[in-house]
Amino acid sequence: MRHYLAAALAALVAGCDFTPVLDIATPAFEPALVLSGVLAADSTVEVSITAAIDPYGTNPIDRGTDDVSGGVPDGLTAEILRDGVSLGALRRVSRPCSSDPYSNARPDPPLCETMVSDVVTEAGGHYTVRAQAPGFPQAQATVAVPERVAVSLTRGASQTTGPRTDTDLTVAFQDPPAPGQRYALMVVSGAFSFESRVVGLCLNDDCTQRRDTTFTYTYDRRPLGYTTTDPILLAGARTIPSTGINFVTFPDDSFNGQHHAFQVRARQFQYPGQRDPAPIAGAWVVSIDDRTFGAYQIDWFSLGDENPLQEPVSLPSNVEGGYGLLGAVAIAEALLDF
Amino acid sequence: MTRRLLAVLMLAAPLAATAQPVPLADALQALAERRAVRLVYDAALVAGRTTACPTSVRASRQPVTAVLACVLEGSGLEARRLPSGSLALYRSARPAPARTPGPSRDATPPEAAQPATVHTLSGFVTDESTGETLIGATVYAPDLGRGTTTNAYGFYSLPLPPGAARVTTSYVGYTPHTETVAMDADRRRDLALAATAGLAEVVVEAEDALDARPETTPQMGQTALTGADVRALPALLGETDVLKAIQLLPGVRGGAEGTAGLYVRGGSPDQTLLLLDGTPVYNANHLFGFVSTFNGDAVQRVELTKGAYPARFGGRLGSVLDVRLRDGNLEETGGQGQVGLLSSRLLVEGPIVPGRASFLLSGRRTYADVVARPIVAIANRNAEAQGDATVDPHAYFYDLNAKLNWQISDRDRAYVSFYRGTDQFGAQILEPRPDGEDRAEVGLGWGNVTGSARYTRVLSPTTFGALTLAASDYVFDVGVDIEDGVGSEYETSARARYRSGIRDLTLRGDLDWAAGHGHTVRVGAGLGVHRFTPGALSLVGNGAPNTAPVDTTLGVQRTTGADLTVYGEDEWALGRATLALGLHGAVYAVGGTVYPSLEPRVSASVRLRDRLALKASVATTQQPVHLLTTGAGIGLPADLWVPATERIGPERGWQAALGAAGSSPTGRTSWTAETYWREMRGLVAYREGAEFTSPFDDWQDLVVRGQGRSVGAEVFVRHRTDRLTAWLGYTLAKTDRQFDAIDDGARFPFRYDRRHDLSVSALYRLSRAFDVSAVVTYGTGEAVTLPQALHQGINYGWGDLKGWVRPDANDREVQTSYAPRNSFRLPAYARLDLSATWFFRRGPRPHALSLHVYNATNRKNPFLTQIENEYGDGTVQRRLTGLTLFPLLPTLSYQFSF
Repeated sequence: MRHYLAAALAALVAGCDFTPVLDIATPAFEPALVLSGVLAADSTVEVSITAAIDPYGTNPIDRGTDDVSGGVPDGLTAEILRDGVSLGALRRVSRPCSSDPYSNARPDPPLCETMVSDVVTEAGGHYTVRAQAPGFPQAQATVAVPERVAVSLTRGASQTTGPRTDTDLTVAFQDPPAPGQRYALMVVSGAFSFESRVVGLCLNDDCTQRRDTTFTYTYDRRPLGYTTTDPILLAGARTIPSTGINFVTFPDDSFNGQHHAFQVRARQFQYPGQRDPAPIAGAWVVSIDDRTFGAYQIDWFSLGDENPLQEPVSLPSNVEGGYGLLGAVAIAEALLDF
Repeated sequence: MTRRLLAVLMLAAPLAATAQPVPLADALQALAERRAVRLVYDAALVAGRTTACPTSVRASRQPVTAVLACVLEGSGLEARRLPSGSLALYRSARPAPARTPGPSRDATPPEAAQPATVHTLSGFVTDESTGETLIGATVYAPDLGRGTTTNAYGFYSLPLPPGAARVTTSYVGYTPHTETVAMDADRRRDLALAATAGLAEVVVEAEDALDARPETTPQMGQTALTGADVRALPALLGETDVLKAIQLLPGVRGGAEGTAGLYVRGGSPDQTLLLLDGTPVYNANHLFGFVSTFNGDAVQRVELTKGAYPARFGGRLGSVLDVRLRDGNLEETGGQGQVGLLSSRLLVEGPIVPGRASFLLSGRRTYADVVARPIVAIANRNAEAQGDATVDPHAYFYDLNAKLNWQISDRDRAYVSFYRGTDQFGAQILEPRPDGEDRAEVGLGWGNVTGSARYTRVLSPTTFGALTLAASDYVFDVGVDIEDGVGSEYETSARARYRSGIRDLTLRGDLDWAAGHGHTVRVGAGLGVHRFTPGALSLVGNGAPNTAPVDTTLGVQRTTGADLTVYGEDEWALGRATLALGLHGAVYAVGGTVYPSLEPRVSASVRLRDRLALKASVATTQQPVHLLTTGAGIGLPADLWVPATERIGPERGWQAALGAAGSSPTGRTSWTAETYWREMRGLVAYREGAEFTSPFDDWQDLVVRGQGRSVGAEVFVRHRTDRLTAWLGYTLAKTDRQFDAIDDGARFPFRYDRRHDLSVSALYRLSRAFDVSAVVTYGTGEAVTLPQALHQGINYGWGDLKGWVRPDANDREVQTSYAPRNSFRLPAYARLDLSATWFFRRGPRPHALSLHVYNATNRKNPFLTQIENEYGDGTVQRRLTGLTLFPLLPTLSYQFSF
């Protein structure tokens, strides 16, 4: 009887395994290169080129991203081409994975490798990044860097209420006649550039250090929150008028080929005891290529891969022979005097 | 029985001429009394018959069977001993010499035999004990080969030639009734059938029942189940469910495991018109789809028409599920109920004016929240003592069906139906803080309210009219209400509420006309107004520092559409062929746009032999509503019903089917075999990545349009005997979809495409007190989209340009590239459900105790797939797993009546 009871108990316990491993055919994994990056007009090139990862295998965890990683393949070579003509090889650089000085102050900060070039991309140019590595099929992606639009920026009234200062801005630009332009709008402030010196001691991961930081004004840009009642921006940001927006993308469907002006109200806060806020530097109207816009929309709309009830979807890709996306933007900046 | 026998004899006596000195009924009664033997027979079988068996034999001590053989000599009847020892009388398998072989509905006798004039036999068919009308009952004159079935109100109209006509009335679960009617003029006969109670032996004389003979009608893809059929099946958590019973039919499958969605012939759930007493129901789900809104106790009959549905229906692309509630007992007050694990239900019915007016009231509610209340209270007291947050959850659903039935006169009747169902899930959270309290209340709810008022009139023996006013209101509501720092200096509050819904109002009239022998005409018209509110968000916020107060409502994209429909159906028997022509005309208007449609529906059948017919049908349909669903298709209430608009027009489709149908000579086994081809155009789906619309978006911006195709073959076999009721359904099918903006326009398998789908169900009556039933389902695994590769990419959702241009680990994420949509398959789905019911009596009323075992083999059918990570030393192993919701689940339920 005891055996029967044990067997029954075992059966019940087995019955409680609600996540059985599925023994079904899965997509065959083939090694491939992943190109990921966004070319910006009038900027040098920096892209990430890594190996794709088997979704059903055992993979190393990357210290930099704290997630699975395919790593940079041995023997990786890459070049950049414009209109099919090579402009030179990309070189492999290694730098701290994070731009946060606090994180990088730890001993032995994780390093990330990217591929860079001193080639400065031009608006309107068609660029190709081509990568090869032993054991991988050649991968390449071509993208047209969008034309930059001419932006005007007008400062309106400012009003200070308590710690908050609202400044009205009008950002205007002429949309090219061709349909299908995609944009992003940002209001930027002059950012604090800070030099950090860490004092203290780290023992394993337990750090007791503090930052000793010196702030200076620079022309580095940081996104600044703003509000608006413009329906195009509200729809793009999926928000209501009184909510702060840092970054919004939108199509030109409703103003194709027209001169369009957006009214926004930039917000800055200064609380007692805090130092002066960084001044408003200007506004960016960023022209974005279709696929980058599409990738942003999907990431923005979807709740991510974590929701098993959603129909999964791949981000757009323009990489032949591999995975990833090579996007392109052109940032048109209008600055205020400050 | 004796009373009924006498009544039948009295009724039949003036109609059936007899000169025999010893009525068969008297002889049988005397035999039963003298020899203390139980004889089971339909009174109609013996009415008017006599026996020439001598008294010496009838009174002798010969074996009962020998005496019975003598008594039945020449009567065309024979006796069979039942396992219980009783003797049941059946019509002899050998046809009586005088009888015309090959009875068939509307089968035309030879032209030479056609009389010049016909008279009409008409009336209602009712349950003898309750007075409720029976839908789909057969009224059949076997000697003349003519018959018909009652309509949705229990009315029949049967043209017959002059002279005496033997007429049999039958209905599944009822003892057939036969009488002879002198058709020297139009005759009105209201016929009452006696139910074969669950505890008694059943004498099945089904050979003439048209509902057991699919070859007699040109309609294809149509199956009807009674409430009793549904209640006899094993059920998840003991919740007998109409929609899950329908899922067992060929060509129909459910969505995710355990859910009540209907995917008929490759269509999505919105393509099936769900009618509850003629009123459309938009969301038929309770408990996130695991239970349907139809309470099995209140259901009299469910009829699914899968393809080329009759022209009187419209507005959906694929099929119609017509659920009819019981009318309520006209004779005596009583009720029944069930106590189950998940919910309990109660039905009360009775006469308001005996024989003239009745009511039916049925309710059901879950009680997990009530049961858990003391436990929650204890947990909250402990939390309060430790200064932690308290949580007061609520989760329940209930539904209520009510019906009034008033027989104003022999010709006029009125009905009022009402349904209300609500699901509520949420919690109130209170968190103490030093300077006050934070409060939050979240809630999710949805519900339907439907109502209809109907007036019917027998306009003439051949004409029946119905006028219906129906309304329905569906609401989905989710909200959060937050108050921070209540009682403190910095009190803030915010409230958000998202609401969507549909409100319908419909007026329609229908007219049935028995135009002549084998010729039925139906016409009707309707006018409907539909108001859709796909999603409205109200936001109220006060007191947050540095923000202005908010009080706004967004996304009120209210759309009102109206439709005018007219239809005509003409079913005509032409020799061995029967042709059913239908035309459904609809004009749907929304904004300044009008979408007209003319939808022909044609069905035809040709009788190859007495019990075999070939059938064909073709139909076109238009659907002016769309259902936007999440990928999983599990019938979430947030799935959004949206109307056809000026930008996004209706869906359109057509379907053609070819098949055969037949039945066995005894009528106990029937079968259909059908092949079909469906095309669907103008389908709507969320575009990639945008899967849940919000009030910030116009849903029309988030959708893409495409098409679908479904082809398949179905076999359905049904068998009924005294003890066994069984059916088998098998489907071989292929269904796909194509959207230009999904997967680069490639065709991909529909998620619920099943190449093979098999269901076998059987109910076996072991004894008068014990039933067992089993259901086996097997199907090809669900089509799923699986990861093909992982890779590092940019986190676009970060919300600014940071990291786009200069790769930064903080702005990186592991992304997934997927194989083409739905290109892989989950393991085959298989399940065995069992149930056993013990019937017993406490006092005069029957009670029953049922044991339901869901998934008796404890097979781990995946509800969805997921990737599980197993972390090692600097590595992670990823494995594809399935999430199983329902392992072996035994449930006890107790049914009672009073």
